[in-house]
Amino acid sequence: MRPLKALLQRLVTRQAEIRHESIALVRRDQTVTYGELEAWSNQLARLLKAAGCQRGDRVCLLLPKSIPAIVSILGTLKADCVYVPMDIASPALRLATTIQICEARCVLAMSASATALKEVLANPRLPADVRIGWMDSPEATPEGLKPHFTWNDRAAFSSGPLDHQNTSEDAAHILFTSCSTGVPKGVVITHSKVASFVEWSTKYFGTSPSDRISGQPPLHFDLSTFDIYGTLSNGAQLYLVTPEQCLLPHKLAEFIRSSELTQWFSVPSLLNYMAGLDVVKENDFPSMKRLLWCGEPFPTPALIYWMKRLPHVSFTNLYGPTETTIASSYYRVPECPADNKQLIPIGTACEGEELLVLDDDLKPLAPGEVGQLYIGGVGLSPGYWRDPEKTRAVFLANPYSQNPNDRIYKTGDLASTGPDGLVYVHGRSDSQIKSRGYRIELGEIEKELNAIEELLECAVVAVNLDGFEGVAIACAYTPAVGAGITPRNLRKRLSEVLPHYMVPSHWMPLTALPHNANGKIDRRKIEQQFRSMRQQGFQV
Amino acid sequence: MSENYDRVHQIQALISEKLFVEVDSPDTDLFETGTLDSAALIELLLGLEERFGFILSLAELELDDIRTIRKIAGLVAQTTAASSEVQR
Repeated sequence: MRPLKALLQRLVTRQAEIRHESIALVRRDQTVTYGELEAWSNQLARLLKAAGCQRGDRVCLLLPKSIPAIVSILGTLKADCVYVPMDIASPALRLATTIQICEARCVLAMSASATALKEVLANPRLPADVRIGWMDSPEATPEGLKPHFTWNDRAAFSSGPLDHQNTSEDAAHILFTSCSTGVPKGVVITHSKVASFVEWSTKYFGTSPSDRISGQPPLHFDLSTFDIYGTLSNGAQLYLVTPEQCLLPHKLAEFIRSSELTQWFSVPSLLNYMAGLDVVKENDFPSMKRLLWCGEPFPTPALIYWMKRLPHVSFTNLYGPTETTIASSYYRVPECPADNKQLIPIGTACEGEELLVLDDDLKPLAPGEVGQLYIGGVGLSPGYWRDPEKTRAVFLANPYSQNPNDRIYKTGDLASTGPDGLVYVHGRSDSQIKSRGYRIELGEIEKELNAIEELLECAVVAVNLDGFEGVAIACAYTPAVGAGITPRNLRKRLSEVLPHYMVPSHWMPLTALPHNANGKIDRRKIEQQFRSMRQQGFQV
Repeated sequence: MSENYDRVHQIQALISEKLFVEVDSPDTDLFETGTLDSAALIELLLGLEERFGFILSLAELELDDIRTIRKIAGLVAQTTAASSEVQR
C-alpha cells in the first residue's frame, strides 16, 4: 500500500460537495453543516493569507477542541500552512517555547484560552512578529489585546473554493511531545500519512455518513487526528466532547446515550473512570457499534466491565506512537476476557505498516522472545521538526527492505510475538511513561527538578495505582541542608514550566536516595517504597 | 466575617493545598482554566469530605454546582445544612 496522495482538506471538501446540508459538527446545542464548514474554512484561509501566511508557515492553535478550532484546522491547511495544536492548560513558558521553536507565523486563540494567551504575550520568548488571530466574538476580546484579526473578519472574504499549492507530502501538522532533554520535540505529520490511516480505518470499521462519532481527545493528542478526519472525510457527524462533559462520568454516559453515538474513541483512563464509578448499564448505548481505544493499555478488569455491559459493541485496541501517525496496529477483542490478568495484544499491523520485534543488533526474534518493537511502513513521520539528530536516533534504515529510503521507527516499547502471531507489549525500555494517555518523559521532569538549587538529588518514578489514573508520578528527593524546601514549593516551581499532568502528585523527602552497587539511583527501591507507603496512604 | 466568606477562603486554601493551584478569585471558572480535571475533582471531593465532614457522591453533582469556588461553598453550605436537618 502506498501513501495516499490526498490532501486532508480535499477529503472534507469532497463531502461538502455531495452533502452540503448534512451536519458535520455538533458541540453542545450548536451544529455546523458541511456547507458551513467549507465556507468558513475557505474564508479563514483567505484571511490567513491576507495576514501574511505563506505556504509551509506554522499556525499555532491555542484553542480548545471547538467549532472554531476545526474551522481553523481546515482553514490553515487550505492556506497551504501547517497547524500546531497546543495544550491551553500548559504553562506560558512552554507555550511560548513551542511557538518560538516552530517559528510560528500566527497564533489563534479564543476566550477559553485568553488567560494562556495573555501570559504567552508577556513572555520574552514570543517572537515579536507573530500575528494573533482571535477566533471568537470581538466582544469577548480581552482588554488590552489588539489581535491582528478576529473570527468575524473572515466575512469580508469569499467563501468559494481556493487554489492550493500544498501536496500530500507537505506537512499538515506538528505535534509536540515531552522530551527528556526538557525541550519538547515536534513530530511532523504529512497529509499522506493521515490519509493512509483514514483510508485503512474507513475500510476496516466501515465508517459511513450515518455514523455519529465522538471527538473527545484534545487537539494536541495524535488521537484527535483520527476522529476529525475519520469522521469528516466520510460525511459522518463529529460530536465534539468538552472537557467538562468528561468530568462527571454519569453525565458523560448520559451524553453518549442522548447523542446516540455509534463510535467512541478515547484513551482508556476515561473508560476506566466510568467503569470505576459504575455508570454504564446493561445493554447501554444501544446505538453504539464500536468502542476504540489508543494511547495506553486498557486495564483488563475495566475492559471486562465494558464488554459485559455492551455485548452489541465491537471493542478494538489501536496502538501506535505519534511518530507513526495515529496507530499502526489493531486488535479487535473477539470475546470478553475470562481472566482479569489476561494481557490484551496490540495485534497485527494496519495495512501498509509492519511491526518488527528485534534484538539489539536489529535481528528478528523468535516468538516468545522479548525485544524492541520497531514500526515500518506508510505511517512513519518524516521526523522531528528541525532536529535531524533526534530524528536519526530513532528513525533508522529498514534493514529488511530493498528500498534504501525505507525506515523503521524505534518505539522504545518492549514486545514479543505470541504463538498466535499477535504482538504483545511488555512495557518500556526507557523512562517514558503514559499517564491518563499523556506521554511523559520522566527525565524531562527530573531535568527541571535538578535545576532547583535547594535540591541535592531527586528521582522521578512511575507508580501503578488502583485508581482510574493508572499510573501516578512520584518524586523522591533530598533537600539541601537548611533549605526548607517542601513538596508544595516544588510543585509550584514545576507548575511554572511543566504541564499539570507532568507534575508529580506524590513526594517523599529522604536524607539520602538509595543507590545500587553501580552507584546509580536505585529506582526500583524507590518505587517499592512508594508502593508500601501507598498501602498505608501516601504522605505528601 | 460571614460564614460564607470563611467557607470560600477555606475552599481556596483546600484547592491550594490539595491541587497545588492558586485560584485568586472565588468566581474564576475552574473548568475553563483547566484547574479541574477528573483526577483533581476526586482529590477536591475527598478534601471537602475531610474538611467539612460530609459525603457528596459524583452521581449527585451537577457541573454548575462546582464551577467556581463560590459555588462550591454554596454547595457545601446546602449539603451540610441538609445533613444537620436529617440528624435532628
